[in-house]
Parts: sequence; C-alpha cells; structure tokens
Amino acid sequence: MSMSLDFPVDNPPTRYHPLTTQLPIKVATDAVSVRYGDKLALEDVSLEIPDRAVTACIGPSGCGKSTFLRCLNRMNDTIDTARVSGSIRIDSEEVNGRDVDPVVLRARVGMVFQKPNPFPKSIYENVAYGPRIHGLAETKAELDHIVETSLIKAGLWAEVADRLHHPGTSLSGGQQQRLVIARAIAVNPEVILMDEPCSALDPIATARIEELIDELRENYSLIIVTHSMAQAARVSQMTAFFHLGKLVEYGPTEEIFTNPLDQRTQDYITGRFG
Amino acid sequence: MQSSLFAVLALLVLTAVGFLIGRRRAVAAANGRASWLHSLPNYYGYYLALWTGLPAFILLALYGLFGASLVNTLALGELEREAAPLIREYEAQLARDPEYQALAEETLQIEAEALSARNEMFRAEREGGDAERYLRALGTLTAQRNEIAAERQARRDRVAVSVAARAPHTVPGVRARAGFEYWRAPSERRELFISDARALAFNEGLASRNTEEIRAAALALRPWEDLFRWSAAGVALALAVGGLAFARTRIRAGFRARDRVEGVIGLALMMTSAIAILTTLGIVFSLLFESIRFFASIDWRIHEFLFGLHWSPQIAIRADQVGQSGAFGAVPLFAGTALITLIAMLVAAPIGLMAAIYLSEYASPRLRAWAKPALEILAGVPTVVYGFFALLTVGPFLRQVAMMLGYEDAVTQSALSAGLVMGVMIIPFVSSLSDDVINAVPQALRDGSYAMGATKSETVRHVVFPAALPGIVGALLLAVSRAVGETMIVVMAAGQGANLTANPLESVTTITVQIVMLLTGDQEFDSPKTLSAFALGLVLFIMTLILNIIALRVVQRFRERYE
Repeated sequence: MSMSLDFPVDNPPTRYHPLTTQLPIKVATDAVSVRYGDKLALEDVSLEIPDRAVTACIGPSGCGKSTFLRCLNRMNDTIDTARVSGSIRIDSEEVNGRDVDPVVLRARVGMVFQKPNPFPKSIYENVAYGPRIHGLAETKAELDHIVETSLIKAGLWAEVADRLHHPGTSLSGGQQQRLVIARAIAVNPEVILMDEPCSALDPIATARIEELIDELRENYSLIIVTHSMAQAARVSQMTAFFHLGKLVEYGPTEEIFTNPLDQRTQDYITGRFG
Repeated sequence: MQSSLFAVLALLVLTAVGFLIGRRRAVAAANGRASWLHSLPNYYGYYLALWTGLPAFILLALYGLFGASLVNTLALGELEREAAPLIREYEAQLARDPEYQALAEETLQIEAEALSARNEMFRAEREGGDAERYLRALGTLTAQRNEIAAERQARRDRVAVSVAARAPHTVPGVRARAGFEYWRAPSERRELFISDARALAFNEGLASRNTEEIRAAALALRPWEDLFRWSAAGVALALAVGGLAFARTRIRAGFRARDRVEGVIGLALMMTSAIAILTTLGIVFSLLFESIRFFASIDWRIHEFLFGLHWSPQIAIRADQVGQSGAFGAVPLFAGTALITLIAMLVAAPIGLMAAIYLSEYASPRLRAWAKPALEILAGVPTVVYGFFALLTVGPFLRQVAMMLGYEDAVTQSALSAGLVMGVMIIPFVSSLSDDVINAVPQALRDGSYAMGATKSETVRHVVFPAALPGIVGALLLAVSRAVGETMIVVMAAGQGANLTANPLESVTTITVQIVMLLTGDQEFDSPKTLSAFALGLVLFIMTLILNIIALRVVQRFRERYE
C-alpha cells in the first residue's frame, strides 16, 4: 500500500484515548482488514463501540471509513471481490461466523445511505417492507402500529400521516432520508449505521436529521460516517479518525477535537488537509 | 450532358479558388497576423467556398430534379396548343355520332344496375340470402360493360384516325398530330410517349416506336432542353461568381467566419435528419393514398373492411371474371395476428424476463460477458431460418402431439407452431431490453433492500422489478410490435386460410401474410384486391405506431425518474 509523503513511513500504531463513558460495549472489532481484489482498503482496525451512543467515523475521502461501516452488517458480501478478515463481534457474537446468516444480521444492524433511497413504493409500504419480509407483524393492525411508531420515532409521522399511500419518492430529500431511517427502525435493530446521511441534504434538513440522531441515541448504538467535522463534534460521543485505510486515533469526541494525540488527526481537524 | 459536366467542373474549380481567396484575404485583412482574426484563416476559406459553391450546386440539383419534367411540360404543351383545331374537330365529331352517344347512355345504365346488384349481394350476405345469384348477375353485367367499353374505345379510335388524317403532311401538321396523340393518350401511354421522344432526342436509351409524331415531339423537346441546360449552367456560374464576390467584400479581421460555417454545418446536419423523416412521411402518404383508392373502390364501406368477418380477395386473372370484386372483411386477419402475437408473447415474455433477471442479478460478470452476446445472437438468425424450423420441425411435432392427445384434425401449419417459434425469435429482444432496464435501476435501491435483510429474490421481486416495471412494459410493447409486423415465420408456418378461430391448432393467417399473398406474382395494380394490401399495410402501420408511441412514452417516463 502506498503512503503519502507527508507522513512518517514507519506506520505508527493506533492511538487510543482512555474511554470516559460508562456505557456497555455493543460492537467490538479486532484486526479487521478488507481487500477489494488486490487493493487493501482497510487495515488492522481494532476498536470498541459503546451502546446507546453515537460514534462518528471521520477522515478524508478514500480513508476506509465507509468500508469499515459496511463490514458491520456484512454489506461487503454483496461485492464479489471484497474479502474481509479479522473479528467483529456484536454483543460478543461473531459477525463473520460461518453460522451467521447475513440476512438475519442485517435485520439487527440497520443501515442508512448517503443518498436517500426510498423504494418505488408508497410511504407506508416503504416502512412496512422490513417487517413484511421478516414476518414481524401477524395482523394488519400490528403492521399499522409498527409503521406508525417507526415514523413517529423518525420524526416524520406528523408530516406524512395523511398521505401514507403516496409514493415515497414524492417526499423532499430530507423527508426521504427520515423515511429511510423509519424503514431501518421498523425492523427493530440494535445498531444503526449511517453512511454520510446528510451529505445530500440542505442545512435545514441536516439539522433535522442531526436532532433525530441525538434522539435515537436513547435506544440504539449509532455509527455514523461523516465528512463534516462540525457534525461529528455536534452529534457524536465517540470519534474514530481514519486515514489511508488505517484507524489513526479513537476516543471520546471531546478529547479527539480538543486534545488529539496524533499529528495527522491534529492536521485533519484543523483543516490542514482532507 | 457535356454542358452540365462542364458546369460542375467549373463550379468545383471556382469553389477551390474561393477557399484560397478567402484565406488569403483574411490573412491580408489582419496584416499577416492570423491571431488578430476572429476565426482561424481556414474558416474564412470555408466561408467563401460555401458562398461560391452552395447556391450554385443547389440550383444545379434543382435543375437535375425538375429540369426534365419542366422541359417535357413546356414542349408538349406547345404541341398540344398547336393540336387545338384537331381536338375541337374530334370532340365535335364524337358529339355528332348518335351511336357513340347511345353506347355512353347504355354504360351509365349498366353501371347503375351493377351498383344495385352489388348492394343486394352484400345485403344477402349479411342476412343469409342467396348471394351467389347476385354475384352471377354482377359477373354478367361486368362482362357487358367491358364489351361496351371496348366498342366505345374502337369508335373513338376510328374517329381519331380520320381526324388526324386531315392534318397536312407538313411540319406544322405533324406537330399538331403529335400534340393530338399525346392529348388523347391515357397517363401511362403519355409517359411512354415522352420517354420515346426523349430517347430519340437525347439518345437516352432505346425508343419503343419511331413514328413521325414521336420524331416531331423529339424535335420540339430539343430547343427547350438546350435553353434550360445552358441557362442552368450559366445561372449557376453567375451565382458562384456573384457569391464569391459578395462574400469576399464581407471579410474583415473581426468577421465571425467560424460562427457562419458552424451555422451551415448545423443546417446540413438538420437536412440529413429531415431526409430520414421525410422519407417516412412519404411512405406513410403513399400508403394513405393507395388505401384511399382501395376504400373508394369498395364504395367507402370502411366499416365492412374493418369489421367484416369474411376475407376472400378473389384472384382476378381477367378483369371481367366472375366475383372479382371479392369480400374484404379483415377481422379474420386481425384475429390471426392477435392470436399468433399472443402465443409469441406468452413464450417470449416470461422466458425473456427471467433470462434478463438472471443475467443482471444472479449471473457472475464472467458468465454474463459471454451469455448476453450469445443470447443476442438469437436475434441475428434470419427469420426465414426460424420459418423453416417452424415448418419442418415444430409444426409436424405439434401435429403428432395433438394427434396423440386425440385431436384428429391437427394440421402441420398452425398458429401454435408459428407463435411458438416467433416467441423464441423475440426472446433476445425482450431479454436484452429488460436487462438494460434492470441494470439502470440504481444500486442504491438494491443496497437499501439488502441492508434491510432482504434476500436476493425478495429484493428482485419487491424492489428491482417494480422499479424497472415501466421500462419492462416498454420493452414488452416493442416486442409486441415486432411480433405483429413479423412476416416470414407466419408465411411459412401458419398457413394461409383466413380462418376466424381461437383454436391455436388450426391454421390462421395474419395481416402481413395477406399483404405478401396479395402483392406477389403478376397482379393488376388497380384492382381492389391488390389495393387492399395497402389498406392492410396502413392498419398494420397504425397498430405498430400506436404500440411504439406507448412503449416509448413509458420508457421515457422511466428514464426521467432515475437519471
């Protein structure tokens, strides 16, 4: 793997801040590496992600943060050339284990993408999609209930209650993103992954989503990839800084932003590169 | 000929000179510093060359297109005017001839009788009366009318000969006779007369006759032709020189030659696309006009054509043959077309769609790389090959199966065998288009579904397929319009009987097959039988046009949503 000339070639190990939160650990990774064909996209990432908190992954483009996110719900399985090694445990259960069905795993680990991607169905059907395929509702009333509570949790209910059967694509970008979050919540996940959830949205919609993320923290472990350092500072409790496929530094957000241990982290958060 | 060749060569030289002058002039206008010019020096050359060559070549092209017919009209118009006394004499003699007038009366009467007989026949056919009787009566009447028509023609010819004989054997006399002959000739004879005269006058091929009158017409053509040739060449050269001089004065350092040349290029490209569109329009209009002739020949009973249940356009070898008017109820053809198309789509839609889903969602890139072209090769097999596959393999096989199952009347040429094979033919069409549409569904939708914990087939059924549906419908409609228009397989494998049936094991016939049957071989080109082919063609065209419009609209809406 090629290294940028700005940095020492001796490849220093990840710097960890002492954990200040008292929360239980939800996700733990150990020496996770990902290859796309011959290209090493992620190298030797080990970290522990707390439950009921927001963990932000930051770093310049191509640093591997999205790849890391996609390891956690095995979305990399859908790419033929991807090879994942190392250990990922959710509640001490191995994610990459042979006996783990990725389909069941993905019901536990929801994901929200960069661009809102509602299905070409009605708002109701979008949210009902997960419960339907996983058989979570026995009756129509139960399904209605799941849809309603999910939309309420995603803060969208008030806006769409009177037009549940309009197409999901008829909503605005910010509403679509909240619809997608509602869709993810509907299957009752434990972890929610968000891959730059606000990068396609305007500032007002972004603020709305950030508020929502903060509310969701009550019940879920959230892991969010973002390009905006301000966003990471605003919404997250933990921050992981990735660079060139490596985890450079990991710790409580306050510590990372006020007292970075690595020069590269310092340079990145002060806007010197990236 | 030489004059035109000379004009073209001179124009080419002038155009080249114009290019050079344009360049030189532009560089001179900028005091030798090409960078001061608005455009590159070559553009000034092109600009001048265009002004020199374009108007002149357009003029020559117009002359080439319309020159000959203009010359013919003028020259023969001259002769016809000189023949005016003969024409007056001829008409006066016919008007005075009591027997000729009596024949004319009789014709009118017979035609009225024939019309009522025909109406009676159609009524009898509808109400189940004795249509045969009227058909026979109609045949007799037709024969009578033709006999009288021949007699009238003979009488007219005799009068014409005696009138023409009175013209003196001088040059003006012969010219008047030529004009008279031309005036009397029906349109196709007129064309022959003109082509013979041109052949003699300009050595354009061999003349079929060489009479005094044709020689006179040839001599009358020559001065007009010379006049037009030389004036066309002269005007073209004058235009070229004029254009050169005019454009030369416009060249300045700041003159936007590049924009002008770009404009001409744009115009030229527009013309080429206009040619494609105009050709289509021309075909449509010729279909339309021939169809109108057909409808006129069946007395505008369009509803009988569109909704009639009986199709038997009798083969009229002689114009006076009994029953030559035939029955033109096209419903059996529409039904046959619909039946075969339905069978074909029942084969092609599921197989093609599932193949497309497999190729785009399940197959590995390596497999896809050779499987898709392999499937598309099916589309490259000539339809006639499918035709004999249907006729020699599928047809007999289906017949045997049907007979084994106890259906004794099975025939080799059936709607089923044609439909099945046509379906196979359309599979690559459906699969290739649907595959493109499915691939155009954004990966984000699939990821979204997988991230919800959906399996591959759930994702395909609930997300990918609904998202691609409009495009798939478009693909299917395009496939239907191909099936409707397909000819060769049905000609060979479906039989020719115009049966009105929904039984796929019987032989049926389609619109396209009937068009082939009506127009191949020796045919009279103005009998209702042949003209009905154009009406069928028009119906077919309108059907496929509507299907294509719907399909394109649907596909377009799909594109708007995802791009």
